[in-house]
Amino acid sequence: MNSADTRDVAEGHGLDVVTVEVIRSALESLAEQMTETMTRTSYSLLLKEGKDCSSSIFDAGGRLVAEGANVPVHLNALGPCLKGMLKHHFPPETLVPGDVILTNDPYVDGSVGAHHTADFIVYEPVFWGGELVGFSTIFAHLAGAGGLDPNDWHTSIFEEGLRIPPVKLYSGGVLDEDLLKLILTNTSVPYAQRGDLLAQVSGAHVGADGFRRLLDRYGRDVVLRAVDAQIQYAERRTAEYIRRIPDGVYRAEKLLLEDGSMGGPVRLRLAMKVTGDRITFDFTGSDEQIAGPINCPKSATISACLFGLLAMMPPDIPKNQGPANLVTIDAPEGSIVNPTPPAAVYQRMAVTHQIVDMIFEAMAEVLPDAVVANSCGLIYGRGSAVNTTTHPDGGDISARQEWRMGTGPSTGGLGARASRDGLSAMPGWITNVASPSIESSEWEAPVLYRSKALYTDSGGAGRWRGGLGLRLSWQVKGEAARFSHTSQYSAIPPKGLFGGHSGAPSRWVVNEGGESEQVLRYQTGPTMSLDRDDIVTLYTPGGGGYGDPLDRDPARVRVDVLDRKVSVEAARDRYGVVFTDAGEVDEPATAERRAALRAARSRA
Amino acid sequence: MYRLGIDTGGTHTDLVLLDEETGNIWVEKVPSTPRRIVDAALSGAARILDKAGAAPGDVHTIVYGTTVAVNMILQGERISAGLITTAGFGDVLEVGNSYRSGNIYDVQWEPSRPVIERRHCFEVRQRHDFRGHELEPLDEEQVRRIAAAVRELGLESVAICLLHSYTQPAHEVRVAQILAEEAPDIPLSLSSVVSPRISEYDRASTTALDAYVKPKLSAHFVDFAEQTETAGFGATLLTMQGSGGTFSLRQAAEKPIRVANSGPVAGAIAGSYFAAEVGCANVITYDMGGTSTDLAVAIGGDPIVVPRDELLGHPIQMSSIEITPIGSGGGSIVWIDEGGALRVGPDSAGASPGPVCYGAGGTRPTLTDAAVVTGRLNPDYFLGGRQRLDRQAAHDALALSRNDTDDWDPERWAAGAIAIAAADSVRAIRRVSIARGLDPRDFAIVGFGGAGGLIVSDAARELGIPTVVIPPNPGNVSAMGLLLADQSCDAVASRLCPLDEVEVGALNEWFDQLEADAAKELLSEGIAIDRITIARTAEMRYRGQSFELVVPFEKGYGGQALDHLAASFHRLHEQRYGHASPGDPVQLVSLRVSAVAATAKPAFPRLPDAATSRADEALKERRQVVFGERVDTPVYDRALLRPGHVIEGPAIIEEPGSTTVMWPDQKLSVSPIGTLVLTTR
Repeated sequence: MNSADTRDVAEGHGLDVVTVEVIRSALESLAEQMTETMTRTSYSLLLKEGKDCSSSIFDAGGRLVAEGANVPVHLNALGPCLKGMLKHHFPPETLVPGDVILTNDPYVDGSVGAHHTADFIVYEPVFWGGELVGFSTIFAHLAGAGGLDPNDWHTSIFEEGLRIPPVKLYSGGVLDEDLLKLILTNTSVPYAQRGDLLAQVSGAHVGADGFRRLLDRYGRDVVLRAVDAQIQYAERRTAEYIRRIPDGVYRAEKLLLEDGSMGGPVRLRLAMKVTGDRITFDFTGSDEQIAGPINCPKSATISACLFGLLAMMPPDIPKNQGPANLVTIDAPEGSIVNPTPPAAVYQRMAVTHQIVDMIFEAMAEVLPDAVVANSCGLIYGRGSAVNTTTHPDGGDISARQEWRMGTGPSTGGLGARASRDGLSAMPGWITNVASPSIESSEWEAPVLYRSKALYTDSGGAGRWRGGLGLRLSWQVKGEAARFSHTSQYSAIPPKGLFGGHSGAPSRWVVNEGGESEQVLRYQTGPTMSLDRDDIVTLYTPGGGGYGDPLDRDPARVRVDVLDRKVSVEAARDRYGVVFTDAGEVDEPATAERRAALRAARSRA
Repeated sequence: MYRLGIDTGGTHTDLVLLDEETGNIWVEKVPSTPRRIVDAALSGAARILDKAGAAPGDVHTIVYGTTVAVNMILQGERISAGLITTAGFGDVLEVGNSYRSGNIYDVQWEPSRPVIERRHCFEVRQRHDFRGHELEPLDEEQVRRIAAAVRELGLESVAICLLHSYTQPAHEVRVAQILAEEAPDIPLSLSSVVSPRISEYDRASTTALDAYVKPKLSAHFVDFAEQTETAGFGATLLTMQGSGGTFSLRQAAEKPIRVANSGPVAGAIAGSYFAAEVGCANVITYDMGGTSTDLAVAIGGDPIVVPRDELLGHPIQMSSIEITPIGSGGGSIVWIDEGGALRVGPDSAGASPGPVCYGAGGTRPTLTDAAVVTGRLNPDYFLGGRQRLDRQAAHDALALSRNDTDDWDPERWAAGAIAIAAADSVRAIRRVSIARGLDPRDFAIVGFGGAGGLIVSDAARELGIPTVVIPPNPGNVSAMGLLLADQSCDAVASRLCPLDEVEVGALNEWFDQLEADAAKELLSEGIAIDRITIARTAEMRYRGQSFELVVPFEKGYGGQALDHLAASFHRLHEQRYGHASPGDPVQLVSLRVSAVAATAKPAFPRLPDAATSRADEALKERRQVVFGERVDTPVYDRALLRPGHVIEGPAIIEEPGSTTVMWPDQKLSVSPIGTLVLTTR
């Protein structure tokens, strides 16, 4: 590539590179401001501390122009939903300035709507000079939808709360109070729901206003041509990377509910077909949708595929419609990756995490420096209870207060990389939600945390070690407690790459070490009841290792041992590193030990 | 008598000396001496006193800005600090808030490493609940064993952070007592003292950083005090806090975290001060140096203070002037990415080798080179002519095209680079304004720092900001801020509860207690009680929110305090975010009292008025400058500009440490003390 390329792109649109760059910066800045506005003013913990929302600007044709991204899985899929909405619900001629469209329905135009009913999408059409020029949109996880028990094991979408098809929340600038009343009546947390929705709408306004100001400043034609040029630029850079992958078909396969629980296992099959600068993600051969909540709407499948692809490329490629133009996604209708109603979809994240890990696995041989070993995947755990003495204030309308296992998704080890250890205690790649503090969680709900700590030897051994998982435990301090959990990688742990070992599997234990100890049989399952003072302990998976652990620099193993990330035994048995009594690496003994382990391996 | 400001930077140490009787100002710049920071401060002080014909004994106060000193100190060998936490939570630093703050598509991203090693984190059995009730007593035997380990490991300092200690500090205090008995002379940082606020990770991070910087920073302050005394100074020694007030070097040695984030706050203070002098109370300060640019927003003349900040990539719970850094400065590299897009920064040529035009070995073009090539910077008048710049080398380096058929000349690339750097600034300014519900067009922008005047008007025009202010001596504004800052002490207490459950009497008592604590520190510095003013504020939010707003509280509210607080909060929320919900429950989060001893503001000498509005006598030359296209542009000598002069753009205003660029649609006037005001026609 050389400078002539961008200039060709810019000048092909009658602009110079600087104007294109300045407008791109302005649009990306707008999307950032939208997200910032929403997170600063929202009410629910997941938004304000978890930042579980993302913003995008689209052009009138539904092409992604810029995004303000917090959570990867939110992105790239709003375009298909927007197009479906314009086709089936609100043709452009029915939109007027001041409209705000809202939906949380996964089943828009097939299954390219919201990812699940807790995700609210707001689209504000942007008019300039009487013409529809684009859309300002925010996708956010709100607290109040999802029916009676959103994290229970559902068999149909009708158990997952109020479905709102694309409807106008505002018409010509006027709020539909009746609609809002309907929504708030159907949630147990009307107070937070209302605050969050209003914050979301103000974020969308910020985007719409800013887009109009940009058009005022540069004129319609310059802005729209600059948008075309940016999209083409991102497409060319992505194409350049796809062309480096030899033509061919790259496959990976994974099992969901591999512990056999709840009707599992369910098979996911992916074939990545690369031809020139095009790539197709073909899920043919994946199992049919199931009567459970882990079906993945096509919108989320698209997000996962684009995230996995872009994560292997330079991070500065602009995130707009460009890359998506080179990608085709074949997700058979009625399958686990593109369900049809009335399939339940609440826990679709289980699939999206696996898709990302599958993409890395499939590409490992051809892009070894860009891929990552398997990561912790999905881990949700939520408790709730009532204690009107310690927590009389707030909660839902039955005074029930909810807490989560540390955050929305819990955190575990991420996979090791080509020249870096994996990150410890992080959410899986495709999500990125900050953990709220334990102290504020205890203020908000009747729960007492007992530990939140990395656990030794949970990271997959490798030349580069997988990130460590967490041991997280809490005690119920209220009555009528309920607990639901969703996780994966319990029977087949996160795999390593190129000789790297697997990370530790996930495990749930109630009253660990006590007389009533119970190791949960399901990695994902129905809501259960708990008694006051019961303790739930979760071990989250560690990331897979990368490369042969016998090739790891012994000095790194020593530091890991000093920091109790690796035990002396694991250092000896997995890494072949032996220490002197003074705690230094015993070089001759290590060489001997490593030779012995290699010999034993080749005998096997 | 004189006041002396010393601002230690990475490459230069800036000094400003003020004669308090006459208002006369002297400025000096000497190379920094990273190996022994005090040396440059003292040699600079000797030079500036010499200029003024003053002796060390004539200086009654020295205000020492140590921002970069903090970094230089921390870049040295790693400090071995320890951390003691509640059992089960020893990984509080290691686990953090589990958020990837980098580009979310970047799977190679790495978080900042905790400042305390995991092997030096200890857990002790004890527990309080969120109301401060003891659930499990402190295991004192275990603390003694930890103390033995601390001694054996030779740890240099220890941070103590137990769950819910912001509401019940008893166990932290007891742990400290035991450590003092068992491992005397090891400096301790208690989270309930350093930062008594909710949120264990943020509090632990703050406390860990305090412990981490303490051994070396304290030693540095002691050294500074001794050396200045040896040099004959008997002055009161002050330093800057992140909150924008100064406090004594002695206090700083005990609470170093309050200094460690003082960053570029002095520049924000001085920038807003000079803007207020020309009638601009709401401003964005734009401080562009060699490697980065720092932004701050001031409303009503005072920079916005926020309850949280970040240091070395870690959160800290210290109230501080909100500074937003941008990764571009005069030394930022201009380059073409692999997709062919023109980029500026984040790499910087720094002070060494510096821009190509310095001729000191730099080969990659920088923003400064672009300024030379476009005619903005005069290669023969850099640092007042002390250094000649190589225009041809800059020109050659900006032949960026890697394609023979390319017809863009270096001048066009250079102009493009400046436009893109301005666009980066615009994006950051939008982030600090629009996302807070502020419209940048309602603000003036103050440009300073070595490179501020070169580019600030480009950003202002893009944003529709009509007024640009350039203070006198733009390169020394930060050091000037040290002399303008007030001496202050904050006391804070966490009081998380619904506002309507607060008992008014208790609220007033809490405030009285904090007031006594805050004033005590100033009184102990020998400040008379009638010089101390008190500001009470409450941090509040709607129930469920986690960003607080700082709401002013008047002592005279009396029994009506809660109503006043609620009303102010709703109003502020509306102002800041564009909406308020007066029906929603409001939470009190914490209380803060600032005790302030105001510094007498210097009476800067007024310049004589110009005879006519024409500034012909200040005209130095004319040269070609690229504004879209080449324009024949007059160049003026700032030293000869007087109040009453009016210049229509385009124009270049030169002075020894800085250059100001005026676009064709701008018009310039001069304030009585020589501040330049550029307005867009």
